[in-house]
Amino acid sequence: EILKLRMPLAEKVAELLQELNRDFMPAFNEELIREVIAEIGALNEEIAQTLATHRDQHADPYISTNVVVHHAAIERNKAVCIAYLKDRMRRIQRLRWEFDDNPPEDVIKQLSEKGEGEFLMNYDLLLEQYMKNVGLDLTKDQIPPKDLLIEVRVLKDCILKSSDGKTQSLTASTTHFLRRTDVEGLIRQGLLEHVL
Amino acid sequence: MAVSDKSAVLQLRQAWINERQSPELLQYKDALVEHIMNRLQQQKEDLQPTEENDPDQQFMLNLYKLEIERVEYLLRSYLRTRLHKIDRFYQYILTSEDESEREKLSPHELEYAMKYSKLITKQLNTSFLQFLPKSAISREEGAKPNLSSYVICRALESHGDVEVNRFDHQTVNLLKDDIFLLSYDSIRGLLIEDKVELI
Repeated sequence: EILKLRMPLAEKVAELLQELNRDFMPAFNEELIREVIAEIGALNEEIAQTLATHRDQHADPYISTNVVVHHAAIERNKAVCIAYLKDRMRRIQRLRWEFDDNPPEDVIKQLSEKGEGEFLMNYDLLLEQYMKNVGLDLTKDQIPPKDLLIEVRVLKDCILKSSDGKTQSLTASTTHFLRRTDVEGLIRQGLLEHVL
Repeated sequence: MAVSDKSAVLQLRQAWINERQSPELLQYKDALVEHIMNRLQQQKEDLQPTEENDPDQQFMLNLYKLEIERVEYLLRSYLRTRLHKIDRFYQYILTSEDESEREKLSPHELEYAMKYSKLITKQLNTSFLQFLPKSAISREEGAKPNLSSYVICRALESHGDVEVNRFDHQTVNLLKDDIFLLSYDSIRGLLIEDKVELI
């Protein structure tokens, strides 16, 4: 007896990875994840049914192959979803390193509120705690330092907290000669521009 | 530890290079990092009270400050590189049967790794795993560092024959200052003993 396979097998899930190839942070595809979860459930049911219906035939190659192929599809669906979620988490971590505590709105709205928004927040706390324990801000000097002081042009009004404790407000379209360590965060966030 | 500043910075620089070039996490240089951080703190305090109007003195001051920043860069990059590897290999590090994998981490790094692991797991569960049928859940393996990847190394002392190919037992003769491109696992032991350095 030849059993039919539930086709298509683990096809939709590939779309998740294609999204990640196109954009840095595509909108969280909750819908597709739900569809894949449903497919896994259905495949699991299919396997249970097959094993129950053909209880004495588990050694029969037609039966066992059917089960194995469906099981492989479940594993593939799982692996791709986990890869999708993990890669997004890595990209979210990069947001913290790029933008400190000021990530751009249009990227944040792409994150899943409950899972990913919370992940960003908790990762931020975790990183802060580690840096505090070590006694060094690791987000500084992401590029090897060449000069002590650099000239910057202010692109948008912002506040500068310098390493000697003073706070200074910077107005757009002005230029200043400031310590690189103090301003590199603001440059990364796009508020200042390094004048070369 | 009566180590000159110059020597400490050179050691840090080599530790940094080794860490960047090696495929796996190396042993944390606890004493070295602590020593350098103390010296940096001291240097900063020494420079603090000086309010210089003399442009030549101001220039010297700026040179000192820049040097401090350069050393801080090494320190930050060293720690960042390690953190990055911990992020990639946290599952392997935390669940390995080999206890030495965890001993490579500083206490702060170990704490970070455990909490990081929980964060990742939480998000995977919340967004996906909790919705799957029980029978479909299995322990997934984390990425392992590829110890066969190739590195460029320099022999710090003459060591004689080192086996570079498990299958045909080919060896190379390491003389002091020789530079070789080898698979990391051939020199892994020598690196731990500081008999080679990576470049």
